Amino acid sequence: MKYSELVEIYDKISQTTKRLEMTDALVRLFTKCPSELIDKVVYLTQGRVYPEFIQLELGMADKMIIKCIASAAAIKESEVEQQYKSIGDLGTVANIMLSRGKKQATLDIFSSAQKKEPITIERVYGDLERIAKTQGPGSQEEKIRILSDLLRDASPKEAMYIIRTVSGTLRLGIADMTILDALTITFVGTKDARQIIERAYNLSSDLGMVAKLLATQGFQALKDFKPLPGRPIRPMLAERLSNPKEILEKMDGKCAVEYKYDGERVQIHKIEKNSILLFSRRLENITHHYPDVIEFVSKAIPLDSYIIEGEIVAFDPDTGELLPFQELMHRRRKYGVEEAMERYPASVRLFDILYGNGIDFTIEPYPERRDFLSKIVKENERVKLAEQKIVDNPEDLEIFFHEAVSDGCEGVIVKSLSSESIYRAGARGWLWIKYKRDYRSEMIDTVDLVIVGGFMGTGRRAGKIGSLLLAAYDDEEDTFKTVCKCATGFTDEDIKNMYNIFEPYIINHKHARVDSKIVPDLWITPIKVIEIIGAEITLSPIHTCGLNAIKEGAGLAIRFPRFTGRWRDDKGPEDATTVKEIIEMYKQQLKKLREEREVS
Amino acid sequence: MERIRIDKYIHSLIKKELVSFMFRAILSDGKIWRDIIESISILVDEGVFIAGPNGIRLRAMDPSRVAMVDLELPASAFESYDCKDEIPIGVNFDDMKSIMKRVKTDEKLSLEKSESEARLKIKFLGKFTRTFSLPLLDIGKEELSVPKITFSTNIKLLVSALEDAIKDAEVVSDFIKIIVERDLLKIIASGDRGEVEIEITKDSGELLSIEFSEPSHALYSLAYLKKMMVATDLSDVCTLMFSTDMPLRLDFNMATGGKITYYLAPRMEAE
Repeated sequence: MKYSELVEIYDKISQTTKRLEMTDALVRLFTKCPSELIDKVVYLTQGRVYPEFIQLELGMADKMIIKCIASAAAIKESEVEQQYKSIGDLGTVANIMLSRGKKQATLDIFSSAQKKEPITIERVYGDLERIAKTQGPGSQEEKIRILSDLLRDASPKEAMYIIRTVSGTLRLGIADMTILDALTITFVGTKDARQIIERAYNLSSDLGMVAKLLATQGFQALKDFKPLPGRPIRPMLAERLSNPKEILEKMDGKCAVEYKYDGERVQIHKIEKNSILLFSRRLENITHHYPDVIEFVSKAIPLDSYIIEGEIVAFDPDTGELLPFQELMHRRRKYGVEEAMERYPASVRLFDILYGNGIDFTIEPYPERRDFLSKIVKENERVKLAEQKIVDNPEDLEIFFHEAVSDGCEGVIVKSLSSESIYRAGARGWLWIKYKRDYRSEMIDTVDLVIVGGFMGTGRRAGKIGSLLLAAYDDEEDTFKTVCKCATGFTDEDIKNMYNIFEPYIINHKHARVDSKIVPDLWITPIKVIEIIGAEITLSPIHTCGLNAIKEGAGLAIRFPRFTGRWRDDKGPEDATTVKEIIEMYKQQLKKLREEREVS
Repeated sequence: MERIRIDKYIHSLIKKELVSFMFRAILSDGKIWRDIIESISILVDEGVFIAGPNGIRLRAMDPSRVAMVDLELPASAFESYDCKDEIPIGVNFDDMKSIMKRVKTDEKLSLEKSESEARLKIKFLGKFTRTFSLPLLDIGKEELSVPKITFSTNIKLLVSALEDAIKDAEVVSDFIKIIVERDLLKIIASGDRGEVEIEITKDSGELLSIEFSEPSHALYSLAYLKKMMVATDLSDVCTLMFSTDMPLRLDFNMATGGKITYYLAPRMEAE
């Protein structure tokens, strides 16, 4: 099929903003297109060479594209650059330069004694694929050569669209849904078919494949479509509410609540007899960022093939505590993965199963999925199921929510238990509702807190005190009220000496002046004061500092506390930061949260 | 007196080392090699000489595959030449060019490649001997074939006439149209900066011969043609061949034997 036929459709589409007209143009294109070519046509129309989840980049910077245009049009690079500066679109520049200039031929044309023929879609796609696959030393020259040759054989208008495709600026404004509409009209015709086709797309994230299945095997093939490990499923998304009562009403009075971890959502794919693949929420292949996750997941899940969803969370191996999202971002790198793995170990909390050993779980209700997941997963130190609880009243939901937040989560995801609660790939709906914190109170100043208890460590800190229970001073009641557990910021030296330092103060019961709901491994007489900085102050059902001051049933906690390195031996326990001061800090820094990034 | 001593010295050297050399060639005038390298390096950065029993050859295409250079230097062009089997000698032309800039008038040049070393020894034999050693490149060689074209024209002319015409054309444009009709070679250039028309005829003595099977015309890039004029140092006369909208061929025959041929793809009128 001639590339000019595709270009003609591109022209039509870019001249309209009406979805119906776009659909018409696409239907004409798909009807004309030979079935073995249709996947490629779909990818090209989306402005790419492969489905989204295959991250094979064409790897052509503007500078390289300018070289190609200059070479094909036989003009100086500086001239192309100048045009680019004033026009801003390399495709248009190519169009102008090639229509104006006398095109420079290559000797190759004359060696092969071939007659020049119009370029085909096959040729364009094949060349783009070669450009993507050319890698390593000398690849830049090769990529430039392939594209220059293609441009030489193309008409100026063809060159314009080729360049836009290569530079990732095709932007025809065609939504995936418009392509789905056009496919439905072309190959089936009826409206209800649309849903089935859309489902196949949501399960495969691959419009090209859906088109090809339709064109070669017909609609029936899509009716039986199952998830395929190796192809990411477009994730199910949650609606948002911030009132527990409303949430429970939506859920008919009873629902499951899961921790919404502050990490990176991941889809774990295992193909039979193959290694594990990881996909991000945006369907990027993130496998090579997390070798440790893969290692622990393969131990935890004994299925031959599966698609399981979870959240990757950074954690502190010495305490098992979860760390904020920012820590995890150190793992999103191309180089030095091994080193980052050491410094920022990652764990994963699993929450859903979509496919397992040939069974399509996306059509099963949530309770069944969760149940199956909990049966097959053998939890280990890094792989665990997401914390979950079934609740039937707003108060329990609220308590679980605050627990989640003080455990370092962003909030909770509330999930429907109904028989309709299937996994709706690619859709945002009321089967899942996220309940996130609306406000946050950032900590700016350090606080001085009193040590009232200790916890034994794990990992490298096994057999030593690994974290401390800290309290603020309540000057009205003359008591010490807990506000956080701190395990971060201590040097190895600190940890080594910790026991010796506290030995004289260890007691076998809670000190009379300490008010705590938490029971540590060791109670310590409130004498020592240390300086702490945290990320923010949050409401917490488990700490006693400021209990009921802001909200009935909730105290205040310091989120992500870190020891600054200063032992405040100059301060007595009564000189520590007071509960009143912490309540004041919370109020002063309270800010409405904006949706910074979409995680679920 | 001096000359004889040098020759004797060279021969003694050859006798001593002959066994270990795969390839050794002596040119009586080092500047010829300098000009040859110059005329190749204008098109390509790297290339492979093939030294064989009958001489040295090299064929290379510029990276944009618009022009090609084809060198033939027969054994007879050398003062002495010794090479039993075909061996590839891959070089970086920039590096070789820098070395060849050091050659002095009246210096002979010896090129040597031993079996064991991946280096080319370049010796300047003059009042005293200077030996450069150039690391060789292991370049996978692409088998290039020259364009197979039946040319409709064959023109022999003074290189200086062609060079002048190119310089004239450059004033107004970056490409030229070459036209052959009747017994006339016409070169036209036009651009935003104006037009120029140059006629080269037999009467002027600059056009030595002109043959053509049909009137022909084609466009060629001046940037490339200008580069090719480097070879003017090698020859006073050149042979120009082309056909309508087909590549051009330009031959420079060296007085001392050997030939450099350039091919240049045409520019096509945009559709």
